[in-house]
Amino acid sequence: MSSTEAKKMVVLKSFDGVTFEVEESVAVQFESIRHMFEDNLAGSVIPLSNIKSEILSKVIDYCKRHADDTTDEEDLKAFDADFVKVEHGTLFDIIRAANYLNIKSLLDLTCQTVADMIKGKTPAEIRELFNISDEFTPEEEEEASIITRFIYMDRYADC
Amino acid sequence: MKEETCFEMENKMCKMGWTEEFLHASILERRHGEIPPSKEYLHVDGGISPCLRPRTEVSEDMEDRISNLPIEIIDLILDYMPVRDAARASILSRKWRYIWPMHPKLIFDEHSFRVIRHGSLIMPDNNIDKIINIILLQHMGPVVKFLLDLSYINSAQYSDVDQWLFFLSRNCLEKLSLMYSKPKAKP
Repeated sequence: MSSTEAKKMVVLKSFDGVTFEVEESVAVQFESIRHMFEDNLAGSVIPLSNIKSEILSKVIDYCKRHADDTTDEEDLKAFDADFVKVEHGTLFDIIRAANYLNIKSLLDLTCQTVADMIKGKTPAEIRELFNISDEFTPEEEEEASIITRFIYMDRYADC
Repeated sequence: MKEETCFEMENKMCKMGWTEEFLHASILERRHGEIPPSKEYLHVDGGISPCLRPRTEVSEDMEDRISNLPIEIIDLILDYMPVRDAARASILSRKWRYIWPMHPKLIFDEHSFRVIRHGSLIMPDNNIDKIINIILLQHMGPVVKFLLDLSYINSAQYSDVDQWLFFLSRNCLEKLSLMYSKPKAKP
């Protein structure tokens, strides 16, 4: 806690019951719950019933860093690049949390990361990367291959 | 491309295997998805939140995290990749098949057609007009944003561009950008 003036704190509670005390200046980045602590509800616990503590702590870290005016742009870029170097499961959890809390910059960062993983890969490679099961019927497979041939003009005949 | 009414287009899509029921359900879901998450998801306590609800059917393979993301997030991911990669995602699985044709933003610019594969850069096609024709013919639902770099379109194909704009004008277009940037010389 600050020694001079007590900063306004917001208490968040994760899905698994862990509470986090966050400065209001950091929590304002949580667009979707902003009204809750701005409407004089300060002091009460805000439940975030679908975010695990492990993910919430990461999201809070991200927002803390981005709320800090003293961090220069290069450092922030390096932090962002490092922040998304996580397992796929964690990354998708962060995406869901960013969407739920409506943190646009975090959502942009994480979606960009996933897009970069997909870019330039063949469907087979993408399926393997994300464990997507190919549940096409033979007819659909046939139709899909016709469409692909059309779109890619035989460039990716191997797809 | 022959002029067609929306009704005829829809009929055609149904024949192509997109059932009317699915079409309507998906369009409704998209409209529903426009409600900001703050209002929709906030007061859900415990259990499965609406944003965890699968879009069409429950996938048995829980490891497939990406396909179970809310549709607005998948759209956001598609926004960050060139049209070629985004379109190719439609053949990932049955669920993905309908995501790209319903994607409300279509961007055809310098980055859209270039693809880096196995370290080498593939330059834009000469038949981009054909690709755009196919993409628009396959499209379902609104096209809210459309951007086209005309420098990749042969001037002989400008009559096609007229047809695209006509098609878009009947599909809820909100933002249209036409630009002209000189293509870089091919190596």
